[in-house]
Amino acid sequence: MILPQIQIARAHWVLGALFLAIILDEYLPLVRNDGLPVRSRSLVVPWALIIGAVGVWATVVFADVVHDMLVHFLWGDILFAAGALELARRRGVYDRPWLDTVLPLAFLGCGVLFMVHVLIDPSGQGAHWHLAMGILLIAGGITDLIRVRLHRPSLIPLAILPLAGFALALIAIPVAAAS
Amino acid sequence: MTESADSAMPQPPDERGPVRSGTSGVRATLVQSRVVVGLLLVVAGFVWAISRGLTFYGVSPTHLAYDLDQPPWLLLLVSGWLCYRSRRR
Repeated sequence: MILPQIQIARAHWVLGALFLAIILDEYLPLVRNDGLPVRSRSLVVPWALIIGAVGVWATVVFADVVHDMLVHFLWGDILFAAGALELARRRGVYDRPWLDTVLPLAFLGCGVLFMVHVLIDPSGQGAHWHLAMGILLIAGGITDLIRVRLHRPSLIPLAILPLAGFALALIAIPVAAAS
Repeated sequence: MTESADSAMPQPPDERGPVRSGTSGVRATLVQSRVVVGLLLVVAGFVWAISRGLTFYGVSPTHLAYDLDQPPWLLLLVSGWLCYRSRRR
């Protein structure tokens, strides 16, 4: 089954919007009743990661290129694992200090997979965009990993910039393809 | 779907010092960041809609999904979600 270009664009728009909502909700501070800023620990974020994983897995069914199927399958695995671990932690089922690194490592892993995607098909359509999006995800993952490992609290983590940039790119880029 | 308790972020030590008014101003701006980003997304959605246009597919459930699955509407939805989540609790 081969999807027409507009359907591929639609899938990317939805996933980009979902990722943007995840990033902004996770990294922008909330205000408590006493006026103190707090970090969001919403259950919506892990659920959104799991829903995103299902969406990415759908590409494995609909894609007509083998390396697209492989890379999207691995993306789905990473998102699903990250969503499940975050869900377990936020529900209080499983809590370990290393779980702080789950989201940064998930972003880093997805960024590396973008690079793998480019390496497998360097002359493919959108290779430059894939490269840019991979760099943004890797930058976001490394920045947040450093912040977590150094136990350096900040009201708005720096990682929000490359990660939001990635989400906006995911929304914006397929527009050109769909035109 | 329920939500877990929010975790308080550690406060910088200078919040308790005599320069509180200056830093609290910055902090007040930062804690409003959700509203600011939400408004920026609204503006981006409007600009996008004006520059590229919106397609109307229909009002049946499938067509409604197509109507909403366009970048300007998605940006507005994310903005609405962000502003909803910015309320004090």
